[in-house]
Amino acid sequence: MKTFRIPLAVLLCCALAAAFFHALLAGEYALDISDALHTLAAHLGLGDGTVQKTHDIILWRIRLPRLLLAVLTGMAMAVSGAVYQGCFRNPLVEPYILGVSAGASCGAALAIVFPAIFPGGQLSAFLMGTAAVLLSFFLARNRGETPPVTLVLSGIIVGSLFSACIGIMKYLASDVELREITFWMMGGFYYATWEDVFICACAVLPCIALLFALAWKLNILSLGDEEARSLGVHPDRLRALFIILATLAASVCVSAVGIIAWVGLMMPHAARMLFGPDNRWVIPASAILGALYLLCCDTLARTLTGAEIPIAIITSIVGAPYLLWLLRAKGRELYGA
Amino acid sequence: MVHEPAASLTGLFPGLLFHGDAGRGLFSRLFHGRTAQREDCLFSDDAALDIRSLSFSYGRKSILRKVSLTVRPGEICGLLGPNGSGKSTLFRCCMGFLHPQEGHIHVRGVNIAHMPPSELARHVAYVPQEHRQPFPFLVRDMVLMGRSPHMTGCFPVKKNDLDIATGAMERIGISHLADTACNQLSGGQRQLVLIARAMAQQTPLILLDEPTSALDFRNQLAVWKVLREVAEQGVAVLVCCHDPNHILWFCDRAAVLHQGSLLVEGPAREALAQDTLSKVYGGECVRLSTASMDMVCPQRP
Repeated sequence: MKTFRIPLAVLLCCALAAAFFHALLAGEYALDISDALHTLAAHLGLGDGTVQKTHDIILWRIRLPRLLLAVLTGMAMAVSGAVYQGCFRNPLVEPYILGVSAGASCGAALAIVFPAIFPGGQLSAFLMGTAAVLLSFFLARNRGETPPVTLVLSGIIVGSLFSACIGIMKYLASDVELREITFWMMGGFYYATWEDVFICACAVLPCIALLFALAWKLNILSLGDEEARSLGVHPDRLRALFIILATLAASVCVSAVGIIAWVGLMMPHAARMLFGPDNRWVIPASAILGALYLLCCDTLARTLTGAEIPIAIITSIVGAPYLLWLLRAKGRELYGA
Repeated sequence: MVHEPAASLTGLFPGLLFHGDAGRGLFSRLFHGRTAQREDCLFSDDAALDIRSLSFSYGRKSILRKVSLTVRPGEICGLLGPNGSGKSTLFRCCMGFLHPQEGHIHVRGVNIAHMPPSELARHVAYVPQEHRQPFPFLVRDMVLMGRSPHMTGCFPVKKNDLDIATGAMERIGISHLADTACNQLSGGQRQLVLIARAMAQQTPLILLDEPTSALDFRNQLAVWKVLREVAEQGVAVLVCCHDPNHILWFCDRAAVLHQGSLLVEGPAREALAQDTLSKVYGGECVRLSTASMDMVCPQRP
């Protein structure tokens, strides 16, 4: 396994680059490579500056921000899933299951309906996302232990609680606000703008870099509180740090694109299958795989039919059976006796 | 250096004079040879673990009462105690999970009270009893985790740490398992991996919580053999154990906990005398001694 890791990582990076270029060219209005390179070169100040207007709009204003947002979201969801799984010692959790996604969308809805009280969609998404994950954790914790399935259940409870809050928001919202909420709740990357990309990049990339740097500590934390303590880390503080970083990355993405489930569950598992359980590999591998997966799903969503399929449908169709398989095949390990 | 509170000056033993910071270096070296042999020297400065009149209670329920115990470098001390005798509480105090209401715990002369985990882990290593992990780390990585108290900063794994972890695996004799996942090991091998991890931690003291209780006889012997080798390298080992025979056969010293207080402490063969066993196990067993071997057997009707 060890000898294959580096070539495999390089291969995955190449696959991501290839998928990105394919996604850039494919679509309702197919571009060819020379057009695409021409347009990109013009924007980077390299070309002769004569660019066809249509190409410019499609490539630079529509496709590129959309693809970048998909890549960032995939990274954030997969990495935060890996981090949650490590610090709760539970291979079944991810941002969606823990209620982070519902909490973050509730925060974003609050920011739409009560802009005076909750300024800044991203900030209130982050705060409510953190509240959701902490609530799930403390609901499930019993005498210093957090049984895997109990944590999943409490995550569902917290998630439904926050979904109900979103319902209230919709009820209270005026027509314009309701439109805005519904629009944004549908999820997906259709309306990705460069502004979204910048905000997400500013939150997600530093978080992932920091989590990658702390990956070794995550290994130790995943041994359980007592062992982690006897190996010299402060389990509660370290877990709090990991939760804050993972939730920040996930909730900023949720506030930009809506709820996208299952990526955070599947990609860390795939990363572990390919690279082993060491988080120093799992975190970067999850980031690449998550980006690749969401990019492919998004490309499918917009090229499969003439109209666009919401991406959440595609991720759920693949993801739900995956969880089922996980429970059937590895249930005994996961239930923890 | 942690300040020594005046409360500990109550029992004025001669060895206490050497305990203060000033006398440590020179005197301990001068007297090392002589004091190590003396059984009555309770507060010897060179003790790897020195527990003094430790008391702990949960609320009003008293768990440990005035427990004093010394373990010296290079010796294995077996801690015998029936269920509910306060054994795990004593361990948890030594690992800093619990803070005793009275008494002190010193590891190589340093008071470990209120030490942050990062510092404590450089003094005490712990080998847990059960080891169920959701993520099947490789043996190599599991042993390397023992180095984490010595690591600092981001991306903390250095070449030196890898070398020490490899060395620990070699000394315990599990190098051939380095690339195996921990969940594919037998119980005995898993226990050896955890001992190797504790070795890589390079602490003067290792605590083991019933290391052989879930193993077959062959693996039990293998674990004890490794523990003897670990002790020979100058590490102090405190093992809690439910089998008095293991303590007789493999430990240098024995300490018997009974209802929260220390019943007896001394060389293993002397400590586990018939009257101690009768008190702890209620006359159900008898101590047999031959010239070469001691044994605790059930009482025949």
